[in-house]
Amino acid sequence: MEHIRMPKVENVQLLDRLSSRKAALGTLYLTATHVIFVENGSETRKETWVLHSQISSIEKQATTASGCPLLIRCKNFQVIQLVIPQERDCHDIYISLIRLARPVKYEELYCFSFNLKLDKEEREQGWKLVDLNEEYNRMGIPNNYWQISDVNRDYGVCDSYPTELYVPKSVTAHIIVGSSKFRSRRRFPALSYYCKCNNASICRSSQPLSGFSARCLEDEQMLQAIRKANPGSDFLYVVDTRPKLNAMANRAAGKGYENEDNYSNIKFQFIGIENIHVMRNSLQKMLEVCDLKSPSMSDFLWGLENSGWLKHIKAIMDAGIFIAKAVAEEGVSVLVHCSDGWDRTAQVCSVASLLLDPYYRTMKGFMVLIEKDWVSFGHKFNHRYGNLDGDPKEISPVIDQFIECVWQLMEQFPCAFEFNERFLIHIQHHVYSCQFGNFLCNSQKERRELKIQERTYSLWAHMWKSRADYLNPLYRSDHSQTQGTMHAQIAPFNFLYKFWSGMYNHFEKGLHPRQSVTDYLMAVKEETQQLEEELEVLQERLANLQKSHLNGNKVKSKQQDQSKQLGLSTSNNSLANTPQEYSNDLKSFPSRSPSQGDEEDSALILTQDNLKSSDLDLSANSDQESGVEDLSCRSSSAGGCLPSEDSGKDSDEAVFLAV
Amino acid sequence: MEHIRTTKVEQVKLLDRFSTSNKSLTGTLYLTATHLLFIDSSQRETWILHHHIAAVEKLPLTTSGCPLVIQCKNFRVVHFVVPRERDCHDIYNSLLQLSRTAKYEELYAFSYNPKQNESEQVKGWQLIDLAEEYKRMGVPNDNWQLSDANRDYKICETYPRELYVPRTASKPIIVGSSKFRSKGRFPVLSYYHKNKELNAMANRAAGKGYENEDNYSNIRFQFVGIENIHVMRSSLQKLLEVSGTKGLSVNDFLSGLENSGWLRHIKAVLDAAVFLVKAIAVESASVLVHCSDGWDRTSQVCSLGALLLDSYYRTIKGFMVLIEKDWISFGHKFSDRCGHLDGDPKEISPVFTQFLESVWNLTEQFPRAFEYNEAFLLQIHEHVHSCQFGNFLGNCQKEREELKIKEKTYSLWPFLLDEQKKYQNPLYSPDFSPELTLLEPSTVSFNFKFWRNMYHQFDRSMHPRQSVLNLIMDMSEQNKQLEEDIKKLEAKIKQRNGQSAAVLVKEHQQSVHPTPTALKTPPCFKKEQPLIPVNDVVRTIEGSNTADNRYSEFVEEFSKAEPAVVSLEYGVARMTC
Repeated sequence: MEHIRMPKVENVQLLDRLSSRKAALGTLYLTATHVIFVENGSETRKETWVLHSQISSIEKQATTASGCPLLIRCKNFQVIQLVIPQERDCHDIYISLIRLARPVKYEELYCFSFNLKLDKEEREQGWKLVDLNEEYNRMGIPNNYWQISDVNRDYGVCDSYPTELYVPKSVTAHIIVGSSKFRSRRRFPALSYYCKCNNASICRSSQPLSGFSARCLEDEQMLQAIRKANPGSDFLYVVDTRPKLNAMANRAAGKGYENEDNYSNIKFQFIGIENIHVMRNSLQKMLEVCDLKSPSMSDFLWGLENSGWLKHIKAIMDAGIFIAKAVAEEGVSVLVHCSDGWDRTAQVCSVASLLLDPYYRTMKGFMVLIEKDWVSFGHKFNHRYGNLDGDPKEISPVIDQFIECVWQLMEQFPCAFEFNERFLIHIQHHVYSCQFGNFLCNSQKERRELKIQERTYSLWAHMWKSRADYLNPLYRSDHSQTQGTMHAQIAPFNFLYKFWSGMYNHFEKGLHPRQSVTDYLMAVKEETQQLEEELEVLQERLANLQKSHLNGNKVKSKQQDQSKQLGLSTSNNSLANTPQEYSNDLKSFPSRSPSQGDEEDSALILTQDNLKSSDLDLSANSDQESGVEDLSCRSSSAGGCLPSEDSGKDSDEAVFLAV
Repeated sequence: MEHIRTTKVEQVKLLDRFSTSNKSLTGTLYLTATHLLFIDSSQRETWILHHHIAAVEKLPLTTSGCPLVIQCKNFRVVHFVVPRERDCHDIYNSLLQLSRTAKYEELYAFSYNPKQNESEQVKGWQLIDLAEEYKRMGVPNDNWQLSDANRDYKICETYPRELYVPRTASKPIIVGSSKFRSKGRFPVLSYYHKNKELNAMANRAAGKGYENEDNYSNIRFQFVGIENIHVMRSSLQKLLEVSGTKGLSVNDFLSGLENSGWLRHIKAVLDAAVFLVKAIAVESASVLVHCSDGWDRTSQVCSLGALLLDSYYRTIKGFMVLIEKDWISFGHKFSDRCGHLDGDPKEISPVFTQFLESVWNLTEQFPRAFEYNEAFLLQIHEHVHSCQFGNFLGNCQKEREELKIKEKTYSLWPFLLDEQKKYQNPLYSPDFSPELTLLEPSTVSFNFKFWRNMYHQFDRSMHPRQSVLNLIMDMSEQNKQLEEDIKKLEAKIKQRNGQSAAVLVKEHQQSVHPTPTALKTPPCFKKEQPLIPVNDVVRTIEGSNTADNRYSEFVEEFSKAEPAVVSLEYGVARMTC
C-alpha cells in the first residue's frame, strides 16, 4: 500500500477509443490490486476494473485543455484512455501505477491476497483436479516400453524439469545423467505424448551441446532407446523447431543440433519457427495496427501482413501438423527440441497432442495439456509474461500463440472442441492476471519452494466450476473428425489463418457476434434437454394411464403400439447426430442442368413436406432421417459438383489424404 | 448446335487446382448445346453452363496432353487435360463460340423448360409486386404519389413505367429535371421510411456533375467516394489472381488481398450505405443519392441503405423485392455488367457481386438478423450469370418488355421460394430485429473478411471440415420435433383421461415448454456476457460499452433536418463541372 500516492481522483474521464462517443465521467480509485473507474450518476454503477498485473505499459501524454491524458495498455489487449483534470494527480497516479504494475517479489502478486473463501480441503481438492500421473496412465503409461524415472526427484539432474519424468524402460540413470550433461540446461529427452495405438511417441528436450563435432554416447543411447520403444518403426524423427540458420549459429557456442551420422537411424528436420524476440516484435506491430482509430482497409491488411503474426502462427501449426502426421500416419516417434526446449518445443508438442488426441479438445483435457506441456515442463511463465519486474527482453507471447493456434483450429473444426472461444480468452487473461497460482514462477521447483499449492488457488478448479459458460454448443464428441486425429489443412490455403478479433479487439464491443451466437445455441440446447425431459415425463404418465386402463378393460392394444413408437421417436431424434450431416456442407449450387431431374427436386420437396406435416404419422420419423440423407445425396449428384466433392461420409478424409 | 465441332472426348483428365499432389480424375467430356459435362470414371458429373464461362484458355502442350483452363463467372475454375491437341483445339473453339451469345433469344432462359404450365409461369412472375411494396412502405400518401409521366418510357427509357415522386412535383418539373440529368434519370423515390416521428426517404437520380449547394435551397452535398466500374473490374481481377495462386504464403496472401483493393471497395460501399442510414434515421433528413448514371453505385447504396433501415429486406421474400426494386426495375444494366451477350468487355463489372458481398458481410456481423443464409446469396449470384431465368436479362424494364421475358421465360424467385428451406438461416430471430429496426454495422476494417465460400465455392478441399449450419439446422429441427411429440402425447393423455382432464390441464400449463430465458429475451449482442473473466467480486467489468443507440451521438452533431445529396464518386463530378 505504500506505493499508492493517490487512492482516489474525481472527475476523471474515460474515453472510448474507437468511437467518437462522449467520454464517461467518474472517479478513479487505486487499490493494492486494482485500478477501478466508477462512472458517475449511473444507476447501475458501471465499473471498470483493471488488475495491476494486467498492466503492460502506462503512458502520460501531453496535457490538453481538458486535462492530462493517461494511456494504460493491458496484457490482455485492453487499452484504457483516461483524462485526469489535474496534472499533479495524473503524475501521482502514473508513478503509483508504474510501481504497482511491476512487483518485485512473488509475495506482492494478487494470488497471495486473493481469497476465494474456500476451506483448506476445497483448495487442496482444487489442485487435484488436474493430475499428471493420471494423465500418463490414461495414455497407457507406464507399460512395457516406458517407465517413470525418479532420477530428478530432488531436481538434481535438471532444475527446470518436474520431479516425475517418463523415459524408455531400457534407459538407466547413468544414460539419463550422461545425456542431460550433453543438453542445454540439462533438459534431457523425456516423454511428452504416447500414442498407445501404435507405440509412437513425442519426446522433448533442449538442443544438444554438439558444437562442431562433440558427441555423447549416452545421448546417442538415449535416442536409440526412444526409437526402440516404438518397435514398429525403424527410425526416429528429430525435429529442431528453429530456423536452420539460428541452429547453426548455436554451434559456434558449443550447442547446435544432432548430426545424423552420429545417431543411428534418425531423420533430422528443421522447422523454422522464429525466436521469442521476433515474436515479441511481431505482436507489437500487430497491436499497433489494432490501435489505429479507424484504419483503412489497406492500413489493416498491410499492417497485418507486415507484422508477420499470422505467418508465425502458421509456422507453429505446420510444425504441429508435421509431428502429428509422423505419429499418426507414419507411426514414427519424434523428438522435438528448440534451444532450451521450453518455448517453441512447448508450443509444438501441445499443438501436435491436440491434433492427435481428442481428449485434449475437451475442457478437462485442455487443462491437462497446459499443465503437462507448459507448466510441468518448465515454461518460464514469470519471465515470458513479465509477472515480476524483470528483463523486458525475456517477455514474449509464447502461450498466446499456442492459444491462437487452438482458436484457428476451432475455426476450422467448429464441432471438435468441447470448449468455446471464451474459455481460451479467459485462460489467456489468467496467464497474466496472477490471480491463481498455476502460472506463477518459471518452474515446478520454484513453485514448490513458494508453496504455491498451500497459499494460492488453482485456476482449473475455478474454471471447472463455471464450465457451463465455456461449453461449445456445437461440440460433437461422436463426429468422426472429433474422434480421431484431426487432419488440419496442410495445403497452403493461407487465408484460413484469420485475424483473431475476439482476442485482440475483444474490448471493442459490438464487433463480436460469435459469442452471442454461442450463447443462443446454448439456450437452444438447454431447451432440447428440457423438452426431452418433459417428453419422458409425459410418456411415463401415458404408460401409467395405459396400465390402469388395461387393468380396467384389457383391450385397445392398437394404441399401445403407437405409444411404443412414440417412445422411439425421441431416440430417433437424438440420433440425428450422424456424421454424415457434414458432408452436406456448403455445396456448390449448380444451375439446373438437363440431367438434374426435376423429379429429383420434387421428390425432395415431397420429403420435406413429409417432414413438415404436422399429421405426424409416427412412423414418419424414420423418413425424416432418410430425408436428410436424400438432401446430401442429391446435392452431390445433381451435377455441378466437382468430382472431388464426393458425398460420401469419408470425403473429408479422402480429400485430405490427397492433399 | 452448329458451333459444336466435337461432342465427346474420352480420357480427359480433371485436375484439382489447389491439390499439391498431381492427382487427377479421368473421364469423358461431353459438349451439349447448353452445357459442358464431365463424367468421371465413378460416374460423378460436373456440369458447366456455357453462359457461366468467363474465359477459356489453352495452355502449352505437355507430355500428358493439352491443358484447357476454364474460368467461370461463379468463380469456378476447371483445369482439364485433353489427350489430343486436335480435340482440345476443337473444344476450345466450340466453347469460345458457345460462351459468346449474340442475341438474347439464344440465351438459356429462352429454351429452359421447368415443365410449368402457363398459369404457373404467370403466377411466378407475379410473386414480386412492386406496387404492393410501395404500399407496404406507405406510399402513395400525402406527400408522395405515383407518376405516370414515364408510362411510355418517353422521359427515361431506363426507368420503369411506374415511378413515385413528390405530390408537388408537376409533370413540367419532372420533364425539366429529367432534361438536366444524365440519361433522363430524374430523382425518384427508392425507399420511404415510415417510422414513428421519422419521415425521411432515400431518393435516387443520375448526375453529370454535381449539385451546387448555392443553387439548391437547403441541400447539403456529400461525396462518398466509391470507385467506378473499371476500377472494380480490375480489382476483382487482381483478387482472383491472388485467390487462385497455389501455394501462396500467409504474407503473400495478405499483401495480395490488400493490393487488389477489393475489401477497400466493399468497405466504401458499406460506408456510403451507413452514411445514408444515419442521415435518414438520425437526422430525419431525406437523401438524394446519385452517381453518374445512377444505375451502379446508386443501386448498391440505395439497396444496402434500405437493408439496414428495414428488416423486411432481411427476409427471404423481402430480399427478392429489394433486388427487383433497386436493381431490376431501376435499370441496373445486368446484361452489360454480367456480359450476358457478347459485347464491350469494358461494360462488365462486378457491381452486383459487390452488393451481395456487402450483404454477406452484414450477415457475418449480425448472424441473427437475416432470414436467409449464405447459400441464398450464392444461389442468386449463380443465377444472375446463368441466364436460366428471365429476371436479370436485358438492361432495363423496357428491353425486357420488348423481349417478352414474362411470356417466354420463367422467374427465378418462385423456384428459390420453393426451396427456401435450403436458404434459411437457423439463427434468424425476427424478435432480434422487429420491423424497422436499424442495423448499425461497424465498418472498422477488422470486420471485413475474404469471402471464401464465394471465391472458393467449388474448391471443395478449401472448405472448413465441419459445417456449423447443418448442425444448427438439426438442432432446431430436433426441437420442433420434440415439441410436436409433446403436443401429441398431451393430446393423447387428455383423450385417455377424459375424467380427470381438469387436473391435467393444470399440469400442462405448468410444464409447457419451459423456454430458457435466454431464448425469451431476444439475445441481442448488447446483452453480451463480458468476455473478460469477471473478478472475484460480482461486478461487471466495463471496457468501452457502446451506447445502445450509437446513432444518438449524431443527433447532437447534426441537428438540422434538411435534405442531403450524396454523390458516390471521387472527384469525377468535379471534373465535369
